[in-house]
Amino acid sequence: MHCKRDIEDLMSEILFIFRFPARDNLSLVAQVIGQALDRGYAYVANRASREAKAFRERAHQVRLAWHKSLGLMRFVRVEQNGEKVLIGKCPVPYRIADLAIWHFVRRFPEFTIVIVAPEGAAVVREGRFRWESPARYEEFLKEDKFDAWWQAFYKSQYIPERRNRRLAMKGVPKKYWAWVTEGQAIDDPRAMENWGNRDR
Amino acid sequence: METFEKLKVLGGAARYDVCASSFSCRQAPSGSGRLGNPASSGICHSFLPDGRCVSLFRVLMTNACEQDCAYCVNRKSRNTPRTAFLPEELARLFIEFYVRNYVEGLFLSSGVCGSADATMQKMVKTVELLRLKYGYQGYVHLKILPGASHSLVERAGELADRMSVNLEAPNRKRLALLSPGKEMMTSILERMQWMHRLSQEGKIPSGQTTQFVVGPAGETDFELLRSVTWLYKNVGLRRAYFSAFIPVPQTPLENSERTPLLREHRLYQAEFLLRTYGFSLEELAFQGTNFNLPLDYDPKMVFALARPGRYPLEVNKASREDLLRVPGVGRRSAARILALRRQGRITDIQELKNLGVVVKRARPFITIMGRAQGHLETLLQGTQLNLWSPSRDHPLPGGPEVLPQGRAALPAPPGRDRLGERTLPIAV
Repeated sequence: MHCKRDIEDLMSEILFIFRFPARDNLSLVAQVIGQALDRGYAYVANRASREAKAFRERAHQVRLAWHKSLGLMRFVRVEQNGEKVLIGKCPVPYRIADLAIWHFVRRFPEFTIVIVAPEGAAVVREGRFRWESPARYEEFLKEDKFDAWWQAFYKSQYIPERRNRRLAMKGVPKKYWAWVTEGQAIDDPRAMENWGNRDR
Repeated sequence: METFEKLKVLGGAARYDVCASSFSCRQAPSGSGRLGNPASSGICHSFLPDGRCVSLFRVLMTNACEQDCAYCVNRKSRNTPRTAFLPEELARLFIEFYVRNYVEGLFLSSGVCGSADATMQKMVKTVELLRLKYGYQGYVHLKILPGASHSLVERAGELADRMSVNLEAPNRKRLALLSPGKEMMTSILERMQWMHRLSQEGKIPSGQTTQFVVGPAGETDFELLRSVTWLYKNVGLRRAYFSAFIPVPQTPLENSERTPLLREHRLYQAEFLLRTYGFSLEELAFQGTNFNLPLDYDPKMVFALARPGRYPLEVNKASREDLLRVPGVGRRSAARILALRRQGRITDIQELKNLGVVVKRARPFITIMGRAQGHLETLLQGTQLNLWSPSRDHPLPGGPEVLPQGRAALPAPPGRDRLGERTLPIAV
């Protein structure tokens, strides 16, 4: 007996699974649906089998990347022809730009939001979503003068006596380092040596 | 001083404040002219090399201070550059950070410059500018200065999502050693009572928190946790934060010993058990000589080791409260066990592992269908070796291409190693 809520939950997980970059997603989904039909949805939902665990884990990874992107996305502020635009990049391979963008649309309702991702540029302008070519936005992302302010603030917050590389890497795993300006400093705080020395 | 220099000085002066939570259940109004909203789950915007999350724009209004607290980086008698933000300057700077999504909200504290009320007025003015001029609807954590007047605390309560006043020490005697200018009852606890009342009236949606400095006044973990439980009960404290003492040059305590970070970690673990696992203070074990938590094992493991008669528990029968007292079983895995039991029985340890139980820790304390799962000696001997345990991520031989690494990979069938060769099962 499967209730509507269980089916909706399973469907939502499947939609996340197909954003995960693995070739065996389809076979995994087929196995998990079979187990849900045989042994009940709770068996899958609570990850009792190793397939169910992998299934839930992949969906979790996508959701985690989505959640992380809400924090790690940094915007460049641009004004063109009276239009206020925030342009950010999302270089993770999980195809989450179209999910993450709505968080920023709600947060900054007076701005056009652009997220440049490997699959294209997700744009929400006046409440309407569309995919555009990333080329016209990429030049804005090359250099952000505000980085110097962020670096000065970031450096000021660090307490060297508490250095804990493992804990820091748990918060920002290596795959995200290239995304953020402070990525290298997480591994080696000496990278911050010159941060905050220039007033731009 | 230029704003850029102020940012460095006043950001650095605030770095010992620990609270990084940005959760708020407040519903931000929608409509034009609005900027920002609070998140219903915390969002971290970065992590420092020391492992702490950066989610809030954490700065002081000023680092000039009339107090001479023995541990503090901003104490009056320290020779250090002093500066202050103007309310408009700080509000504008914060908005620049916020719009670029570098931070999730504002954490505003301050030294006491002139008087507590004069400084609080500037802090409140800053938040008023954010709320009214910039239409900012996001998260604000506002520190209340000891000695601030009721009207300012009330106004702050209307503007902020979370408020806090740092208790610093667990009791009056210890506080007198650290901060001779502060009186616990009149300057701190009274403000906590006011904030509690505001919270009961539906203001400050994320409630109030406090912070303790651990170590400098010789306070024990028992004293700290007793104070925390009292605060939960009497002033509706949402959460307590602990900051291991680090000696600061040009202070009376500059030659004192640093508090081990592990002690801070154990305090957080114990506080978690008290706040979310339903433990009582009496259930926690403290070392007989110094009334501190043992550092060798976490508080839940110590609880279990001290009660051999209570274990092993049958996972198919144990109540939620009992499951939560098994090392390696958290709130989420306990909920999953109970949900799965409604459908059938748990039959082997792999199922428990899949449910999220840390089976290495749980094995000696549980039975499955009446079968014991491990011995305590093995667990205690293997504690260090676990750090170098091999990866359990494997490709399936002959199967479709799967991810060979990472938590999302399919695990290999039992008895096969990474290359698909037969190996002996791991003995427990």
